[in-house]
Amino acid sequence: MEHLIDIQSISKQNIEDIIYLAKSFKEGKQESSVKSKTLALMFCENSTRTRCSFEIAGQKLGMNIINFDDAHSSLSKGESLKDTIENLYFIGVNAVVIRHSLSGIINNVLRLVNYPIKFVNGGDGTHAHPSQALLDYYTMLEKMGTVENKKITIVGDVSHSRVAKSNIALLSKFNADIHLCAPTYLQFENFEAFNVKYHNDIKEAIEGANVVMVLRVQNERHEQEGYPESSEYKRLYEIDTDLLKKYADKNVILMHPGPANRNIEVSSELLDNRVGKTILEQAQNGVYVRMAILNTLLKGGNHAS
Amino acid sequence: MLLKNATVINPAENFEGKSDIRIENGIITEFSPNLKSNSNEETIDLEGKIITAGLVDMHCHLREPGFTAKETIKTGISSAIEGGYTAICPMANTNPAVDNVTTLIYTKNQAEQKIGFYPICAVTKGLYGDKLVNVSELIDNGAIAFSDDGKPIENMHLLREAIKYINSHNKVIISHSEDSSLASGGVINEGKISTRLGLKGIPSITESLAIARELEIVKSINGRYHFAHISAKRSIELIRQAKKEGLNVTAETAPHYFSLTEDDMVDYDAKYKVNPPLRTKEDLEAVIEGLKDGTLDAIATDHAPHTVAEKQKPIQNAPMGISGFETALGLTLTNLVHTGKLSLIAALGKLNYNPAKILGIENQGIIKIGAEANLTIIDLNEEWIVNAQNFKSKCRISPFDGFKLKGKVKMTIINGKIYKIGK
Repeated sequence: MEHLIDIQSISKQNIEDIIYLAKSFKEGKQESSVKSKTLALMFCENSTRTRCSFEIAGQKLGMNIINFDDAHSSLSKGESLKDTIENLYFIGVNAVVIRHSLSGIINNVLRLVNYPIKFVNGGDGTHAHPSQALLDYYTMLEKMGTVENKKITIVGDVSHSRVAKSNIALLSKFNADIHLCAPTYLQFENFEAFNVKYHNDIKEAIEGANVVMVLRVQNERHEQEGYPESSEYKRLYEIDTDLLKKYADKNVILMHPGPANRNIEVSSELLDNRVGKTILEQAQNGVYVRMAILNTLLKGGNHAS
Repeated sequence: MLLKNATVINPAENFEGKSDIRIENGIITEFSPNLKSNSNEETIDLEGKIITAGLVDMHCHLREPGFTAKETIKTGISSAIEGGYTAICPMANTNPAVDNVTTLIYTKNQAEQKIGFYPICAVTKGLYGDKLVNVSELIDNGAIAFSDDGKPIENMHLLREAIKYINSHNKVIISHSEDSSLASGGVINEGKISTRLGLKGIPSITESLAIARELEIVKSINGRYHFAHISAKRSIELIRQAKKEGLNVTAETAPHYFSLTEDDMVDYDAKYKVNPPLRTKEDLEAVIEGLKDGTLDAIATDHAPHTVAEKQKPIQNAPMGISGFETALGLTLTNLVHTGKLSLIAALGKLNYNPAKILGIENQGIIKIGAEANLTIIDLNEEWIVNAQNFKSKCRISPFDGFKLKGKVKMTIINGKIYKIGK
């Protein structure tokens, strides 16, 4: 595994190795192989969980961390990402985690950068968020042991969700039964893009579900042309205790990549009760999964000039 | 000068056969088999080669004035000659736009009569879509047609009046058919690839919807109209139906629409970014079908150069357009002729005679005694690898870089002057 750009470009074995390593880190059975390597966190879009999680993961691995944000860097002076990254490499950075609003930005920059810096996608536009999918998978395995033939329903702003896409890519590799639920205006515009089941009706979508993964529904979206108000969404799609109790599997796992809009896509009451705790466990597992990712990419050679 | 032993393909007269051609003072003076060379006459043996009428590109962008980092009229012309073109029709979306006589004359002066140079002028001032240009004075100074290409005309009242008025001067409007509310912010074709990649899509109805609307106008006023860069299956169905109904419309496509699809775009590489976008395999097949049955009359390059730095930007920010002159013939021969989809004479007709006829360009697209010697010499079977680094165009980036093509321009003859290609 050279980089982590999206789930499609890594193998099932890569995923299993990362999960195994993350478990070893969590259990305190694994030492860092990347002490004193340097990690740059280049977050050109707001983030709490992902940035902090990578930062703590790097610290636990004994890495040097550079925090870098576009507003206070030469990127704001119009320097191209390629130039910035090549300079970071020569300054001594071994790997860079990029969060960016443009889908495919790492594919673009990887084509142009001429030096062996490692790339980790921290979420690009509406394309991919592979570390999130890996930590979601890790959490599901902790709870259920396997995802094979489990009904996993992803609900919310599917069309703009890189989390949904990376989860679909990952869960498909392990033969989960994947369902997507959204109103028409938040659904993927092309149903051939992914081999999953599409629903507009929430009851049908979560019927017997083992996992309900709720996606953030951005309020801004509802102010765009052709979209109704967010109250319309809430009325039909908000996940609450009653809905889960009535339709989902009795051991249903509630997940959310965060940040949640309380009482829009998921009820406040549900978030604060026992079922809602899995969401915090996701955040915790994220650190170990990201340690595993960084350790895997950076162990061995790759010394910066 | 005597061109001997070639196979001549002259789509204008549906002629295909061995013939020699004599050129004196830039004019074709004899055109028949077995001509004897006169003493002191330069004789070129073209055994095994094909002579056809010089290629005519009815749709290209030369970027001058205003965007000379992308291309200049001079480099654009060199690139066109390298591609076998003896006549080109640059679009008006420069800065300033070619919406006035001064800019029109400026561009003609820059061209220095090196090639048949037939500018297409803007339909509306500044391409803003609201005020019609001074049509007659532009025609008197050489406008060959009118187009706001790069932007659609959204005001249907204005479009209707413009078609009537421009037609009354025996000229045609070339339509950039696009519904901008549907195209807005789009990067690639809307479909499974755009969804997977997380890129805003441009649905194919962006094109076909505009065509449907414009066809209704053309029908209502019995107008004459031309559709540029057709990419979508449904558009072709609409134009086919309109032609069947007897509407006086013509249409062109570009080589990338029968050579590439959205499936080529999986790595976010902006060198494939073009407007209209590369579409699906089904659309590509419909384009080929449209070329076969004559729904699509012409193949134009839509040569739309940009700097390499611009085309290396993230795909969302990179400009749309492909460097087209130097690969158009090779792609046509490789993907349409050698695959048996089109006969050689039909394919060449879409590159020379048809575009010249649509725009009413004299002395181009035809081989006949008394006409200017504008000819393209082709080796139909020569295989070559596209190397964008060697382009004469300033735009040395291409989705076809590294493609192996079969069929190559060997010489371009403009007004009797020979340009050897690939030297």
